[in-house]
Order: sequence, then structure tokens, then C-alpha cells
Amino acid sequence: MIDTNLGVVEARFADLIWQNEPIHSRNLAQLCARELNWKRPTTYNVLRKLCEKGIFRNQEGMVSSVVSRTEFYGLQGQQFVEEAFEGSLPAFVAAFTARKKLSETEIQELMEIIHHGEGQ
Amino acid sequence: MEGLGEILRVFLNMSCAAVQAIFIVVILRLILCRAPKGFSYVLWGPVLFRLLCPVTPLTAKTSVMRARVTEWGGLDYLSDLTIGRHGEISGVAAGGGAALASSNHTGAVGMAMKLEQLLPVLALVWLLGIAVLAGYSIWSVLRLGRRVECSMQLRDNIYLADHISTPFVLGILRPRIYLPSDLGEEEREYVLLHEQYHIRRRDYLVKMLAFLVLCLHWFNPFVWLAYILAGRDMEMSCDEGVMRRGNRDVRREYADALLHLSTGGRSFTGTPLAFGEGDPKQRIQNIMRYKRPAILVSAVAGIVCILAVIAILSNPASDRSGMRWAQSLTVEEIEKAELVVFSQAPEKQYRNMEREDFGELVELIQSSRGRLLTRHEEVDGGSTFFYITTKDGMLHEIGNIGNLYLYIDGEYYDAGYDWLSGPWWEAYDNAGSDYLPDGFLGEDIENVASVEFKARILEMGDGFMLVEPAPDSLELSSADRISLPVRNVSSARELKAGDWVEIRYDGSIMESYPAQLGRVYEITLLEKYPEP
Repeated sequence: MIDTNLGVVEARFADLIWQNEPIHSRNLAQLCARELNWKRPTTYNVLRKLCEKGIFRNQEGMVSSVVSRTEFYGLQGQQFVEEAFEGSLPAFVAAFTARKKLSETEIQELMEIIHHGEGQ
Repeated sequence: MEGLGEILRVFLNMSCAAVQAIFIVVILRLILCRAPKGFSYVLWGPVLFRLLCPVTPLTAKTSVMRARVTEWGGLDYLSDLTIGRHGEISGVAAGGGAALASSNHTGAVGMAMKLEQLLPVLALVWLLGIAVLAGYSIWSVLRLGRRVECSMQLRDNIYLADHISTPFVLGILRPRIYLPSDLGEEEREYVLLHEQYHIRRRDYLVKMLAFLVLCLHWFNPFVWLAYILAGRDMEMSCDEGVMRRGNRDVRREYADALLHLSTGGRSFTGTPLAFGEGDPKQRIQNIMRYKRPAILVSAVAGIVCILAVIAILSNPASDRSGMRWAQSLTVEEIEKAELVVFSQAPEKQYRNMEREDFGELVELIQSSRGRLLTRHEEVDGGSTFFYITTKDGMLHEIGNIGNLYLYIDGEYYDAGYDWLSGPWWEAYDNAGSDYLPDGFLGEDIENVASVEFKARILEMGDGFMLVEPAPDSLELSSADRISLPVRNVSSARELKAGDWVEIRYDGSIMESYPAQLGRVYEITLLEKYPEP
């Protein structure tokens, strides 16, 4: 189970990798120096932390993702529903739509997903 | 090693001065508790000055600082514990000063010696304390710096960081505001107002300076108290500054943010300036009670502050009591007047003055003039001193040191070469007629080296005798004829030529013919010629 807790800064860093993977760690460091003004050791440290969380992997200097961005945030969402709505997706949707009603397009998309899920 | 002890002495004195200042500020803070905290914050300024600087340009007739002022203008609290401070006086005056000093401080001698010896050792302990405190602070700052290495710039000098619990300001030249990355938008607004106010007021520098001072005075618990209270005043005055810019509604949200972000801990490091530090309760109370102060309250508080600052920064002026005494001296007050002239030969160094000479002496003393000096130099050369015992039992010393300084009871005055070398010289330079009485300068005869030799009296004169040293004495090799005054004689009968005596003296023989001795302590009649 990967750790889906990600701080704002770490998320920015993760986005950089997702947008540019696979990328050599050296190039990643240069990228971070440009985008975030980070020193090289800083980049390596944060990379190590995210690899420990199970999101990315660093094989002989080549950095690539274990889970894609959508997968990751999907997992994060799932965990959130687990914790906040005791795993009940309907409850979540109800809470979500209590504030703002669903638009027609959104309802269509949801229906397709449900039908798609039914088939499996 | 010695130099370090002296540096510690300076800091100890500054610490004592600061304790008095802190006491005053604490009381004033209680009085000003209803006024804006900005005034309380300002009051800590002079305390900081007292902790860093031993001298001040301001002097006051009546000062709140209760201490002696040293020659170089610093305050001296330790003098009551140490003698030997008078030892800085040059030349003759040292003798006179020691006479007074030893009679006043005999009880403190033992303790005084202890302090002088301990200072170098204490200085090492002091340095150790500084190193520990400063080292801890530096280490914790480095650690914090590493944690925010992976931060993200929001805009300008504001950065977001993932794993910090409270917003803070870090940096000396270009201070940055670090915000927790999960801080809500609304809270963020108030926090930024607060931290930016700190930066504008350069509080981050002030805090670092204050911490440096804390390191140097770590041994003084009152300084720790001052550091804590001043920190609170800094934060609260900053809160008030934020609220002054907004409308009243701000108070609730601001207090909420504060409560939310309060770490509750107190850190003793120079940096950073953390939003959630310290006691939130007091700050929230202050925030909720805040209202724009009335003009009158501000004015009164301002005046109190200005007065306090001036008072704390003023040293006591030496009171020129010596000069006042001299200029108002009368003949009737004098019980006894003794003249000591050190430039002359030993037998002409002293005179116990006659009452008929008092008039002329008083005229001279009354014409004393000159500016009080806080600094004086060692003078080579002679001096003329009067030891005046007045009817009230006080012993006063007034003297001319090298025609350069007028010395009165411990104070040095710039009386001018003309006056010092004129009437003083004319009247009194050659006026000694006797040896100094034993023990006059507080010397202990037993401790002074003395030499004895046997001699035969050749001639007895008017107060003097001529002797020939015994064959086996060393003195014979220096002189075969020695002239000495007849004094301190231990004898059952009158001395006469042919008698054998034993002479105890200070060991110095002057090359003249006949030779003369330095100081003669005792002459003892011997019953019969001593066998070799």
C-alpha cells in the first residue's frame, strides 16, 4: 500500500517527474534547480522520500513512476472516501452534489462509467 | 588569562547595571499594561544597551543606577567586594589611598582576594556557557534550514514548505517567510500581515541581537526573564500593528489563526521568528481587548517611556565632593595637618604642621579649582600631599601630583600647571623636616625587609649620631662612617660616644661621606661589646 500523503511541495515535485519521465536523476536535478531553485542534494533527498513512499523508482539513475498521476490521485481519493465516508462512494457523491448540482455532461459521464463498471 | 578575567569583570558589571534597569522596566510594564504594547517593547531598548555597552554619554545628578563610576566611565558594582581598585592610583597617592582603603575594608580583604583569584577561572566557565548556548542555537538553525531547503516559492520572499508546524521568518540579509503548505487561504492572509510587519520593523535582527546578549549574560536569570518578556512585547506589539491596519472584524479571525497555529513551545534560539511561539493566551487576550488607544493614553505612555529611557541610560556623576570640601575648608575645622613630600630625602619627607601655619594652608586649599577627570595617567615624579584630620574625625587627603593633577579624597582634578607649580611649590616643596612616622602609609613594619648591624658610636650630635660599623659587619665595606638620626632608641639610659649599639634599618645606604641610611627602624643599646 503506497503512502498517498503528499505535501504541496512534494506534489509539485512529483508533477515534474510525471511530466518528464523517464528522466535521468541528473537531469531531474537540473530541472528542479530551474523550476524550484533546489540544490542537487535536495532533489535527491526528496526523490528518495517519494521512492520510499512507493510512487517512483530510481533504477541506476533513471527515474520513472510506479503509479501514474491519475492512478495516484485515484488511490488518494479512494483512501479519502475510506476514511471520511466509511468507504461509501454514494455517500461521497451525495456530499459532493449537496453543494453543487451535477451538470448534464457530468451525469452522462457518470452513467457511462457505471455501465462500464457493470459489465465487469 | 588575566585579560579574560578583566573582560568578565566588565560583563559582570554590565549585568548588574542591567538588573537594575530590568527591575525598573518590569515595574513600568505593569503600569503601562493598558497602553499599547509598543511602548513596553521600546523600554527594553536601554536594557539591551546596558547589557552591551559599559559606558554611556549621559550623566545625571541623581541617577537610578546605584554604583560607583570608574575612571573610564563604566559602572562598578564589584568594587565593594574588592580592594586593590584603589591600587590603580599612581605614585604617592597609592600610599595615601591604601591608608584609607585598608581602614575601611579590612573585613573584605579575604573575600576580595578570593574574587580576584577566581575571575580567570570563572571566565573560562563563562566562555563555556556561551559556547554551549550559541552552539545549540546554531545547530538548531542549521537543522531548520535543511528542513526548508525543499520549499517552493509562492511569490517575492514568501515560501511554502511541507513539514513545518508554524510559519516563521528565517534569514539575515534577505529574510524569507516560510508558511506551512497546508495553511488555509484566509489564515495565510493574517499570518503574512503579521510576518511582514516583523520584517518591516527588522524584528528578526533585534531578536538575534537579543539572543547574542542572552548568550553573553547566560549566568544572569534576570536577563532570561527580560528576554522572555521582551519577546512577548515584540509579538504583541506586532499583533497590534496588524490590527491597526485592518478593521475591527479582523480580531476574531486573527485570534483563530493564532490559536490554530500555536505551538505552545518556547524556543531559546536567536532565530527564527515563529508565529506560534510562546504563550497564546496572553496574545489572544491582548488581541481581543485591543482598541485604538486614546491620544491621552499614548501621550502619557510616550512621556513615561522617554523619561525611563533617559533614566536607565544615565550614569551617576561623580559628585565632586572633594572639591566642595576643599573650597569650603576653614582653619577652625582642622584638628591636625600633616605634610608629606615624597620628592625629598627621607628625613625631609614629613612635617606635622603648626597651628599658626594653618591659615596659609587653608588659603591654598580654598583656592582649589579644576575640572573633575574620569581618566588620569600614571605620573613619574614627585608629589606633595596634605593629610588633614578635621574635628569631625574625618581624614582628608589633598595633594599635588607631579604638577599635573590635583588630588582630593580619591578624585582627580585638572587644576592647571600654573596654579599647581606656583603656590604649592613655593610654599611647600622644601617644607619637610622629619622622617615619615612608621606605619603612616599603612605599611606593616614586620613585612618590610630589615637589616641589622652593630656599630660603635663615635660622636653624638644634635639629633644625629656618627657611628663606625663593627669589624665583622657588611656595612663596613660600604662605609666606615655612618650618620643617622637618633630615633626609635631602645635604651635604659642616654646614649653617649663609645657605646655599642645595634641598628635595624631598611638596608639602603646612601653614598655620601659620612654615609647615610635609608630608614632607621630601631637603635638598641648593647650592654657590652659583642664577642665575635
